[in-house]
Amino acid sequence: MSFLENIVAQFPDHVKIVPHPRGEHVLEVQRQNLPEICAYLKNEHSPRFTFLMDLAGVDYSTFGAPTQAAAYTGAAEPIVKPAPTAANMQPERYAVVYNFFAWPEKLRLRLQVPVPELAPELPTVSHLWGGANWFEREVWDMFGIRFKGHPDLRRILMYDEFKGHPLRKDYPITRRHPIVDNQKMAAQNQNGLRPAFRLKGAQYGDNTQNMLLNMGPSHPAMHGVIHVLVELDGEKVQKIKDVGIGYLHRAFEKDAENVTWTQVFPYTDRLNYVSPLINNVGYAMAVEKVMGLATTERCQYIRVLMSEISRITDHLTCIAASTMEVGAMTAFLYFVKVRDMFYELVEEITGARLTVSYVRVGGVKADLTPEFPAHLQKVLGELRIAMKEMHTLVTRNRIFVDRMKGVGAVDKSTAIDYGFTGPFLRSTGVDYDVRKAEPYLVYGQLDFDIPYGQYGDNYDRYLVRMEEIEQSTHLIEQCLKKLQQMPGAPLNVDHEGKEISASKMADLGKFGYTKGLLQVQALTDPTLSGGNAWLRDNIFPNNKSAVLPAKEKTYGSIEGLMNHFMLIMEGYGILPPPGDAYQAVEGANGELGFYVISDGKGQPYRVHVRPPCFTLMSGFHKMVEGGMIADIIATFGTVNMIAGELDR
Amino acid sequence: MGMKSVLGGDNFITSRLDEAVGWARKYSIFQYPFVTACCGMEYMSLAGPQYDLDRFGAALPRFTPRQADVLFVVGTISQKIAPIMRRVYDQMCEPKWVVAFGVCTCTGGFYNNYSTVQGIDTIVPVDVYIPGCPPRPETVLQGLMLLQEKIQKQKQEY
Repeated sequence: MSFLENIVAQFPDHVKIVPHPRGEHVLEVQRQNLPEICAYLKNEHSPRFTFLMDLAGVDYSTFGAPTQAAAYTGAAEPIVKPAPTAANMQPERYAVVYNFFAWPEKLRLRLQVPVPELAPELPTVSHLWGGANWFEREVWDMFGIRFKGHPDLRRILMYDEFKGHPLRKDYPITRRHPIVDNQKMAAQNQNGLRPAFRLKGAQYGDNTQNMLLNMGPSHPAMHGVIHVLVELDGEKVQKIKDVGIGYLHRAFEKDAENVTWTQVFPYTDRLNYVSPLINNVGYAMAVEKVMGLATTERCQYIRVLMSEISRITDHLTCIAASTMEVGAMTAFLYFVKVRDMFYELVEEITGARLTVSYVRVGGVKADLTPEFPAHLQKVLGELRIAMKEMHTLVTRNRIFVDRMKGVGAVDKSTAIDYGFTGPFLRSTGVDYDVRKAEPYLVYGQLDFDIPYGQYGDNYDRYLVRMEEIEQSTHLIEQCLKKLQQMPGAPLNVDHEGKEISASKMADLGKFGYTKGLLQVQALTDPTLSGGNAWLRDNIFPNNKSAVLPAKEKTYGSIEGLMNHFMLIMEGYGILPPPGDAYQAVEGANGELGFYVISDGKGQPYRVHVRPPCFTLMSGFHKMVEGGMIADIIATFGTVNMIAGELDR
Repeated sequence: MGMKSVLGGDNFITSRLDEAVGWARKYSIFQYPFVTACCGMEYMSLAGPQYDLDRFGAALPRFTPRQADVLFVVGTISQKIAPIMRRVYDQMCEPKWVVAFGVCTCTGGFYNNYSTVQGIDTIVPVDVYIPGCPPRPETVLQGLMLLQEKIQKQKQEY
């Protein structure tokens, strides 16, 4: 008997199993009994679901309905719907989806809770998991679903003047509510951005007073934009009154619903812009999971290789920035130098330094260049030198150690309660890493270790990141060795066997000089969106309904052109079957989850991201309360908050 | 004003002085990096050893608007942060310039939705637009040189 049936046996009237074609464990739960079932899952069930990984809202009101044309340009009129009444309401318009994870049993469970259109309300679970607090606030902000019993149900990503709930399907994407009114601005200043003023310190009588201080939203150490309201007693942090986020809310999830499946990739680049390749891979794998698409071995090795390069750049950036913030400017310069070398390496393959859009559903944009292995070896050599310099400069540096050791410490149970993942969780001593726990791609065949700490303080986080860079280097070398054993990349030739450049070849095709181009196996420039016709088979699965044909086929034959046309035009593009999937990958900051819903059309119905630093920031007060104000800077640096994925 | 009175307000001298002041100003840009998003990564590269903003006399970021001459708006500006950016701009002393770093700040880029501002020139006057998503450091350096040219050529207030 599976564990799902056990749970159903426990609550026979309120829970039912939802069959899932890709083998995910899904239960549908009645909303009245949610807290009771959650408490059972967390405390009594074996294994215990101690992690609340993700919580997402879904608006099912237009599921399966005809696509709204030109919604993105703002041309489409909003659907004017009558206010819901008891007679015409949709009983299951919304759903709230809970993703649980049991550690160390490595078991995932998803609960779906239908919510009616009229009076959308759910009981809260924020008393069970600390991390649920912010997740529920986000669902309230985006969907207008209330959580009964929630201690602090306010908007989180949007601002108070905003009207409506933007992720509802009837909210038009371009309806803006700019803060232009001076009075409102003043009011916002009063509510959110208060000037420093004094509070009465009750614990010391009337003679001493605590001070409220704003850090951010424009503050040098609050990289990205975040607003922390701290209550200070002298230099000591008494309380974090509020953490304001959403200043970089760019409506990723709304945008994703208005473009085709492939067009989402550029938006994923800009989620965690320090490690864009990992986001690309995560999203592509989620869509592939919905479609049931298997990728080729070479493609998987390339994806792992590129993900690890991204992980290295992310850790380099994080360490560079956080050491700079505690005064080590030299360390910053050393690491940024190496990071730039990695950016050039990424550029060689993807064509862009930062916003790469490299991965495709079913594969990657292009194969590695022939010179890539040599360049990579050179950069890895530089990385090793920089790592050595870094260790010499700061690892045993007295000033650095004093600022980091024992500062911002969090214990295991708090970390799990708030759903921390990644280097942060590992620094507390929990060796959870998605790459080991649920090996995806070819991670299962590669040899690497998971470093983890003991005290959960800043110094442990620094050491974990440094060691992860070493492990990533190790992984990259293994991938490269494996890839070099696979066929190498030949040069471009025209139909007479002469070498020609990729651009010339594309030009020939455009002018119709296609005779003979297909007679030979030709190669376009690997850094352009061509790959080459037969090596493409190594990096893409043979599936014409998901994978674009090689460029020379598009330009060289009518079948290729038609295939390309059908895939690109809306409604004829990739059409995953209706269904949903949650795919987690190990991002540089922790578990990066993509929850994707398809209703069988050319556009995603819903793309939800589980950003790793969202949970980290929701537990920020646990790290800094009771410490000194200067330690906020050091701790915030090692949290590695990335505004792009935090606010989306 | 002060300098003019000291030097007697002579036209010949002030026109030459304009150039000298412009020359001094363009090589001592104290910038306020209003970094919000992805462009910040390229901004870091720009400040790093490879591209070295210091060559242009613009490497010293000031994190208070009252000490800054140039507001670098680096990254997407959302409706929520817009009033704050305007406030930072208002707090800067004259003369001041604004650089729109990245296409989101120029036009909104490919974010055309309920939460993004469609170009910061709807909020503050912009002197140099640097497109790109994100712009390469070379592009930014060119933008910076254009700004220097503009500073040199404009009528100086002092």
